[in-house]
This record gives sequence, C-alpha cells and structure tokens, in this order.
Amino acid sequence: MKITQDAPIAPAIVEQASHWLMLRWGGELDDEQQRRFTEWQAADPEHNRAWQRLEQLQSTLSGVPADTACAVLRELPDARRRQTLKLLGTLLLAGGSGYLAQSQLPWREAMADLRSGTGERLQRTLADGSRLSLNSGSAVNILFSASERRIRLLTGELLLDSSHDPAQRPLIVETAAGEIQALGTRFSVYQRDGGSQVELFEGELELRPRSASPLRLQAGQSRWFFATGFGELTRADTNTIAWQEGRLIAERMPLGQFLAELSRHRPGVLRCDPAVANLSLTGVFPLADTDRVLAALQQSLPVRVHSLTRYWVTVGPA
Amino acid sequence: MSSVLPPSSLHDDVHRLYHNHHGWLQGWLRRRLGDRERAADIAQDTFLRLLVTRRMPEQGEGRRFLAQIARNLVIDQWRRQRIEQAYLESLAALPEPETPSLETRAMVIETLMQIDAMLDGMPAKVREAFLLSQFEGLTYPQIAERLGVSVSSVQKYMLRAIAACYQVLYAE
Repeated sequence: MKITQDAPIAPAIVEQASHWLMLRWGGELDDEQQRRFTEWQAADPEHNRAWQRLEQLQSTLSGVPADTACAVLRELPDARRRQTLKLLGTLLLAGGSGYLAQSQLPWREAMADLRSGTGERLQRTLADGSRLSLNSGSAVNILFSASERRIRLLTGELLLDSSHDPAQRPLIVETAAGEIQALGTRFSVYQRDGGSQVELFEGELELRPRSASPLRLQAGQSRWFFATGFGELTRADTNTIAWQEGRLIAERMPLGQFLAELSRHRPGVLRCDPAVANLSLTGVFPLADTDRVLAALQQSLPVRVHSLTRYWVTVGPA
Repeated sequence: MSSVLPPSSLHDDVHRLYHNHHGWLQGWLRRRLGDRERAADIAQDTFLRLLVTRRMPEQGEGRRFLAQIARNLVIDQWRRQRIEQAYLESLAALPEPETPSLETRAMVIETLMQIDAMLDGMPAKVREAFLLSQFEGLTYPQIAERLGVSVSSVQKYMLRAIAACYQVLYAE
C-alpha cells in the first residue's frame, strides 16, 4: 500500500514542505507568500521532490468523495477504533511462554479479551463458573480482580448466566452507557443506539447510568438505558436471546425488524424495501445459514430477494 | 531486529524459517483467533510478506518477528472489514442507480484504509482539525472556533496531521 520508495528526504526539508502545504490548506497564499514559495521550490531539487510527495498526499485525500470519507471515517470514532485495535493488540501480543500456564484456566482468562466475528457466536465459562455468551459481532474485555468481576462490553451483545462467587466479589457489566451490577442472575445486554438494552430473565440487577441515579430491575423486566437516563420499562422477551442457541425467533415480527436482526449475523448490507417492511413474520430460523433464511422468505411472504452480490442484498415486493 | 537480504539467500532463509516456525505460527494464531482456516491463511500471508519485503529477523528473533508481522496482518484485516462495512452502510443510503461500480468501490476502500491509517497516527484534536479541514471544507478560523482553540493552534495541528500522513505514505 505504500508508495514506491525512492531515496529518503531530509526531515528538515519535509518539514518546510509541510509548512507550505499547511499554509495552502488554510487558503490562498498572498503575493509575498507565493513569491517565497516559488523561490523555495526552485532553491533545491530536493525541495521540489518533497513537494511532489505532498502533492501525492493531496491526490490520495481527494481520491474519496468528501461526504463518503466523512460518513465512513466518522463511523469509526476514536474510542472504538482504538479500542478494537488495542483489543487485538493485547489478544495477539499476550502468550508466548505464558501460554501453558494460562491454558489450564477454564479458558484463557489472563488474555482477558474475547470477540466474535460477524455471523459467529461464542460461549465461555469464566473463572468463577459464570457462563458468558457473545452474539455475532461482539467484543468484551474481562477484568477479574481480587475485589470485583468486571466485564466490559465494547460492542455487540452478551448473555450472562452468573454464578455465585465464593469470594463474594460483585459482578459488573460495564458499557458505554454505565454499569449493570448483577445479583445472581441471567440477563443479556445489547449495545444499540448509543445505549444499552438490558433483558433480565432471573434474579435482580442494578442499572447505573454514568450520569443519572441508579435503578433496580426485577426478573422478567427489560429496560433500555443510556448515560443520562432510562427508556420505558418493558417485558423481558426470551426470544431475544435465541441467538445463543443459533436461532432467530420471530413472533408476528415486522419484516423490517426481522431483517435488521438477521443482518447482524451476516457481513455486508441487507436492505429492506419500505414497501414490505411492515409484513408480519412468524417462525424459527437458523442463524448458521442466513442465505437459506433469505431464500425461505420468498416462499412464505410476497417478497423477492435481490442479490447484487452476497454482500449486497435487498428484500423488496415480489 | 531485521536486515534486508539479496534474493538468493533470502529464499533459503525463508525456507528455513518456514520449516522451523510455520507450524508454531499457525498454532499460535489458531489459539488466538479461534479459527483454523483464518489462522492458516494468515500464517501463509506472513511468509509471503517476508518474501515481498525481503526483511529477515536476526538470529533467535524468528518467532517474535513472525508474530509481529502476523499481528499486523490481522489488524489490517480487521480494519478493512470495519471500513468496508461502514462504507457499504454509507452507500446503502444512496438510491440504487448511484451505487458505484465494484472497481470504484475497491479503490475507494483502499484509499479509505490509507486515510484511516493516517488518522490513527493523530491525537484526537489533530484528527478532528484534519477531518474538518479536508472533508468538511472548514477554514482554519472556523475550525479554531469549533474546537475552542486559537488559529495558530489549528495551524500546529495541521502540521502534525501532515506529518502523520507523510509517515503513512513514505516511512519505511
């Protein structure tokens, strides 16, 4: 991906050239500046070479439409990009001689980081006996210490069957929105729309948004919360965690919602034409083969699946 | 940690490294990625990279060196996946007839990878100033106002941004 190398250019010259580029990016040069720039360029062939390299940079930057660049690069916010990179960094850097000792733990706890790719679902038993499941496209850091058991949900969705800890350490799930403290429970957390959707199936939980008062949740309740508050209280729905068994369960679910859910489990784009988004759907679908699920839709609903490529699928009216 | 070799001894050396460490590297990757096929692919690409860059590890550094290359390959893949996904999502907002061709898409993704690598070398404020200037068309005084800093700070940020870009395009 790098540009073909010729001889390196002295850093001082690169710095001068960068200075000129910075001034030009800031607006038109005035006559005096333009004169000095031309002089500088002519003074040494190396100056010109440095300038050509920066022009190459400029043409790289203009190789992407500005709105696309904004949309895509802004989609990868600082924290997320760095976190994922760091996550992988630790994941791959750990190991070597430490590996043998670690492999005797229930799973390699000391590596602390776990992620699932698109279409992949994982299950692990943690050191305290709790069962952790990750839905497609999820990542967690596992930070167990002498005083607490902390799971940081970086992205995606997890389901936790917490187990009693002999050392009585609190079990906390941390998200961008805040903390969830488990009190002997089974619950799921899904990062979405800038908040965390919590579904509680057994036991009790405390939700602690970063900047709002905490709130308790009882078994059978579900609530979405974000850094500064809570959404409405609703009924927990065990269908939402069917992914753990590799299934997607729909009960009179609008097709638009169904496809949004299915798209979490396959790479690329899956679009739903608004004309069919409200068709209702009931059934149990295998997540392992989403192509087959899409094909099956055509048999049971008046829809047609258009595939531009496997990564670009639109469901529209038949 | 490494040295550049002429092609003749290079092949022997890569062959030797492959013989000694390929199995180890593949196992190492498999344990970390939890995916046998991907581990095999990346192990293969790692040795390919050795041949292409013609860089070889010093004596006794083989595994560390290979692991470092493999790690970079995994991170690149991961980044590409993220960027492709974000790009496809941004296209999904367009009406169908405006959808760019596959070739155009591949080129844009390649360039986005490059720009993303540049952004990665920038501290947060520098990155923000750079994005506002290059992709949102703001002037330095406008950026200064947006970020609550002086225009001369914005100029310093832009110099740092250019340095980070240069690093990606031209550093060894």
